[in-house]
Amino acid sequence: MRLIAAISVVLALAVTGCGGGSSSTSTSSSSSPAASPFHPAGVNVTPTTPPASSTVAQVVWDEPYGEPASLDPLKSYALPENTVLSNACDALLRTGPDLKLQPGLASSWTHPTPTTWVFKIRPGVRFWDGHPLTVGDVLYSLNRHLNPKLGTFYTAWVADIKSIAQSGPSEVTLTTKVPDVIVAQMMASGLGTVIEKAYAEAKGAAYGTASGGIMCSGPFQFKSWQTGSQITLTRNPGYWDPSLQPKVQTLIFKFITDATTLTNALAAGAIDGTYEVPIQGIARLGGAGKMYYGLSTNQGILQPIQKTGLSANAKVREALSMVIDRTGIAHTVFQGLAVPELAAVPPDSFSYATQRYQQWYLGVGTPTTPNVAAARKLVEEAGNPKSAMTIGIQQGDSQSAAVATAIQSAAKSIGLNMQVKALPTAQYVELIFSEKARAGIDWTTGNNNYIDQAEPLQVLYYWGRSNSPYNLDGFAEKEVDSLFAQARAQAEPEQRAALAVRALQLWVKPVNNIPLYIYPERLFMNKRITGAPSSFSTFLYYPWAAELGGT
Amino acid sequence: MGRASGEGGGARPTPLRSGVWAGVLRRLLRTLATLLVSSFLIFAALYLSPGSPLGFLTHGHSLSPEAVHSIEAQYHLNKPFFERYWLWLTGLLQGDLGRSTITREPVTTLLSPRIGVTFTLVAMGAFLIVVGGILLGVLAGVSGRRIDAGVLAAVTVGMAIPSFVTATILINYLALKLGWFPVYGAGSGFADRLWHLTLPAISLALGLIAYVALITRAAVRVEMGSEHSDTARGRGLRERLVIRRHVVRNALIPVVTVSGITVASLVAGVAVVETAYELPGIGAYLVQSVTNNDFPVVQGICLILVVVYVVVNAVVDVLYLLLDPRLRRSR
Repeated sequence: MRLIAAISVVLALAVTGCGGGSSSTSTSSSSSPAASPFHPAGVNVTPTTPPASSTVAQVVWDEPYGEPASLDPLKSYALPENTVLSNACDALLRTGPDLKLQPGLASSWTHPTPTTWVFKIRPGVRFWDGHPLTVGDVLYSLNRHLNPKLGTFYTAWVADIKSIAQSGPSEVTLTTKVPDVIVAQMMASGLGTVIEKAYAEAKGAAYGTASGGIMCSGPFQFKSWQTGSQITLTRNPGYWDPSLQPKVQTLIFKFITDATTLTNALAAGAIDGTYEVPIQGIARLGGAGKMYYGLSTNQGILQPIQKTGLSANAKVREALSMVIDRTGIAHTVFQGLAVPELAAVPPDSFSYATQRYQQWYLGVGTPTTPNVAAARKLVEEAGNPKSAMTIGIQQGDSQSAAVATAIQSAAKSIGLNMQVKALPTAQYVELIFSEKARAGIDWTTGNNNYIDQAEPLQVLYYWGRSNSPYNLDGFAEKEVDSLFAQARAQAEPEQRAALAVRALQLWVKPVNNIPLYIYPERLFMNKRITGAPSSFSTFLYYPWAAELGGT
Repeated sequence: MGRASGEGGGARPTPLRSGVWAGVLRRLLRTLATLLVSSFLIFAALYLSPGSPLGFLTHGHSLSPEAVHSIEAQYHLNKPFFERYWLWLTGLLQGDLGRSTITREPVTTLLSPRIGVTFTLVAMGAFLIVVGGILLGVLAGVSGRRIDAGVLAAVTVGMAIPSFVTATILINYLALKLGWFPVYGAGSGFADRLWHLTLPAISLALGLIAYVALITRAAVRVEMGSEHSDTARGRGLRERLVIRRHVVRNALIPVVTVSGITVASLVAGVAVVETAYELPGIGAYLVQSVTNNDFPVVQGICLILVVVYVVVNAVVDVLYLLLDPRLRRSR
């Protein structure tokens, strides 16, 4: 789980661009798709956008979650970092617009034994400085994550890797500790990103900082980073992939986090485009360009984070899940750009065995509108508890504040006492690994509990298995652990899905993470530009800006 | 030490110089003491604040114990309080403010471009406040009831509107609707920067223009009815000359002081405006760094703010001392 440290401004600038009254802002194109359990009505979900037909001198893009802290792949495990890094540095694999894995620096990959993955490294790739990219660079980059002193943020994943070693002249073998298919998928992330060894060794601790810079092989090369102001990339004329030759000469990233300022900048054309467009601004952007909606492995959940207390009570959880007005939240907070989530697994992640997963998802039976009578009965059975529970949200995250308020009133309707507490960013992001930070907080919600790849098993990897560092409520079910171990070992998709569904069912049935909402990724590009893929996690793990260009 | 010296005639006594220098020295020592105490307070306040920078650093991911240990060692997080303060203070004297825990860059490198933005903004704001405030104040003070009431009303409204609201209004109309000004950012190059900072400077200045205008108006009113003005009028001086020579000049003494203090406070108030216009200045950066628990940056910016505030106040004090002979006699 990624608790996004949106560097949101604590000064609550209570300025909203639009009146906030209208909710019919979502219509995007000619056809109006009907409502489905997976995507909102009237929203046309397209993973790609009309291809670019001309070159453009400069594109200014925004990072709505703020400035990256580092461009070192070791420390890039959040939106701001990866939005930039995915265009500058190649990883072994890519997450395509359809959320399926594609070859990257690895031209092909095989899975010869249950615990090994062999990646064929593409020949003829050069770093921006002209040096050839070798197996040595690949080994160096991947093994940095295994060196505990360097402090990778991918600790949880690294725990499952036994070794990464050369196995042929242009071949690298990843060996896992247990039979596993999902770690290999993470080669399309910071974990599989390749940097130049000589450059990184020369820079030492300064690698990936504003002054130290980076050295990679991606379609855009690092030019400068003025902290607080912008990151500038320029077109790499020698990019190895003929299908992704960049059409933008200079790509500038700005770090506007305030929704109103961002909307103004987009409307005025000062910023050309952004992912994660602030919902309240969409109505004002019509004249300036176009909204696109993509697939997303993101979701909104209410996560219990205590092993004891009321939030750990199965009946209380179930009652709460029954009375939350998911439809209401989707309509009011998200102005119709979200739909209720029916199990805490984002359905756009069903990239294989889709039918089997969908059938399971729709059959979980989570209500979309409140069922007060049944919930009250459960609360009665729990002994009508009077003590208060607290939802912790991030200060400045007005969307989550609105969601938490809706949950609060739902709890009140069945006699449960729920408090909402806005936590400073520093404490909020600490909830995961500090018991002290969690003290007095029973639940947490944010809109960034995403999974990295379109692999439903990642949900169990983060929250369902008993030994995950992200599993905070102490959920431990032998059967789930065993089914999860079998599923992650299963390379055959249908069989993996069959095992995964059984494990997921056991995990969602005594309610754990309470599902709230899902929403398609929101992308805006102004009239000048087009081409960027629109899906969530594609813009983190795919050189998306190489598709950008003039209309 | 100074003895009373008459306005006219007699030996021009030494107290003018020695009085000023003694005052300057005293103020300098006081300034240094203030800086030392505030550096301690800033450091202690951050030491006591909840949460560690580690959480933000990892975006909520877990780190290996070795990595945590090496970060703690790098930032002296595991050392006792006084040792950490001492390390910080001695670094400070060598011009080293430490490294940001978030970006790992030296704080001085991070702050220097931002200081430029903030100081340009403050300078423009100060210009608007002083010139606008004094002009409006004098206008209201010397004019008839109607103009006075008009200025008073306008100024009061300006004072009542918070700067972020002004910012929203200005951006919506002047930047978005009319396209005269950019909607965000600080620009690059001299002219571009002035253009980018015009709306922010107006937002910053509006409330404080009112303040200076009100003080000026009151001072002008007092001087308008004063004996020496009446005497001047009685001698047949034209009203315009009376206003310029006798009213405004005397009214300026309190106004200069108030303007100085107002401008000093601008530095602290700049955060809201910088945030609203998304300017890369130290005010917005302070807010951001506090949220992220980026201690070294927060310490650095607070120290700069204190230094600026203290120095501006000291300068105003000294100026006042030079402007108003009566002050030299006290103490």
